[in-house]
Amino acid sequence: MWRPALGAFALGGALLGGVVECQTTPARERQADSMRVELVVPPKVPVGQPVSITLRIRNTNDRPITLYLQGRPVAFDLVVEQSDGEVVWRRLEGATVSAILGVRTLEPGEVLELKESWKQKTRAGRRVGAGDYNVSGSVLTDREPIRAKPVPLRIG
Amino acid sequence: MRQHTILLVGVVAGTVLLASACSDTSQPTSPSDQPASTGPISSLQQPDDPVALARQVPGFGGFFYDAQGAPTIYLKAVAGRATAERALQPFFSVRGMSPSALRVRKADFDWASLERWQGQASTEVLATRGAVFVDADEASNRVRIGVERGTSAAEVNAAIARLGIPSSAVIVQETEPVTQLATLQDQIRPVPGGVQINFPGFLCSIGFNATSNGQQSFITASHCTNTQGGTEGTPYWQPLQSVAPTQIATEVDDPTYFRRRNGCPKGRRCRFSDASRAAYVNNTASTLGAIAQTTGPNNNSLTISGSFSVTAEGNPVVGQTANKVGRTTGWTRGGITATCVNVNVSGSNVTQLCQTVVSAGVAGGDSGSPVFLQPNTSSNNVTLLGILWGGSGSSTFIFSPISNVESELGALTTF
Repeated sequence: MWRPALGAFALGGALLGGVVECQTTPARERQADSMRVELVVPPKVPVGQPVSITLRIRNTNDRPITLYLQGRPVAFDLVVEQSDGEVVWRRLEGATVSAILGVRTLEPGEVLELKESWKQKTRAGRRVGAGDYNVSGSVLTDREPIRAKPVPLRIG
Repeated sequence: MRQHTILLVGVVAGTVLLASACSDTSQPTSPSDQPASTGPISSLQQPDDPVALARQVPGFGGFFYDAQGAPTIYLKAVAGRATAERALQPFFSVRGMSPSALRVRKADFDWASLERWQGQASTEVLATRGAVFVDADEASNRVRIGVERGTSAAEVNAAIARLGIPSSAVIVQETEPVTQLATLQDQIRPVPGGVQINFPGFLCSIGFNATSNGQQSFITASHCTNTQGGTEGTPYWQPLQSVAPTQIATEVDDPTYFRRRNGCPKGRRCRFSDASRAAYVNNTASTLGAIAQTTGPNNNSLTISGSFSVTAEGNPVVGQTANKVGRTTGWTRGGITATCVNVNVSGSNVTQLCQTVVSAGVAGGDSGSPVFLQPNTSSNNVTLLGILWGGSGSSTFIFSPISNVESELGALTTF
């Protein structure tokens, strides 16, 4: 039987903050200075309420940039961890993503937003408790993911 | 087999360089029936090198293996066969062959002249725009000059006339330009499987070439079309519209997804293959059965070093080692871990029924890649298994078996 590896789209190691990589060619490496990647999460959400999470990529350059993004729709991962580092929810855990590559051009100042609503449940469906959590996010490309800096989330 | 850059780089460049190195262009013209000059390269030849040996033969005009694999020599006087057999005795001895296997063809030009003309032509012709190679061709007893498609032969012919080389001794042919190294993301003609394709807004990989009712086509993923399921004439370019603006193919078959039958879960759209067919257009050259081969499996290389040849189709079995070649992660391979799995596609209401799972590398852009077995790793002959369409993480890919592809797209000739 098929059992997809858990954490298949795990964000390995320490997550990088702010603007991070998006490469393949030198031109694309230079784009690292052209993008601002961030997660927008409410700082505090009542227990049991959906948590609105937005992963936002903004072209901060004065020229268009081209992004190569996997999936149709664009595949992005979100990870919610307890303050002790234990992962309680991962958006793409065990998911099968189409291996297509979208070519997306962002004009200067243009923003790409990827949205999700987390129902405060683990993948197994168990409701999480009140407490402090961290949310991190990444967008799949044809190379390393584009990563956003983790942000804190308080439930309660 | 893929006959674009690889063969030209390997064979043409090699031939040209070797031939140039082996030429003694400073030698005076040999009277055609005199022994040809051995030239300064003779000391570098192996004792059984047929060309070095045959240079002693009056009227020698070239040595090669013909289409049947028979050793063949050009002689200006066919009556010189006995002399040729004696000269080539070391060559035949080493191979355990009888000199009687030698075939003789009537030469119009002696080898020394061809080498001299090659040297002269190289100096002038390779300086012209669009010239690709100049070769003293053993198999045609001519100087063969390659020029890029669309290049006027007039400039080449003028140079030949200026040099005093008989026009009848020269063949000018159109050929693809020689590039140093091609990758899966470069323009490749004839088009093989495994290389990058582009349709509006997206990149994928060509699976394999196929003929359907006489129509030359390639197979890729259904989601590598403008609309997944349903035929809407998606245009394709290779590798990119911006790089090679002439469209290479048009989507001609992509069955719609079905609901509420054949085990399709409630609320889902299903098919047994994520596959579509596109017909080549604009006289785009493709090679049936060819899949681009990179420098090795699981080494992250995208550099094309050869070609796989499809020689059979097969059904996947758990435990077999499956391979794929795609534009992003190149040639990867690993074990088949599950067969006939029903898989939901993330971010959609699509369920792919009866798919196969492989523990091997994949990333965005590999959709459409050919999946195959390589029964003997010392041979490039492969057995086609299907079309890659998705991944779970970076080390597990999913593909649609070829039997499912053909049940939905109809019978395909794939090799």
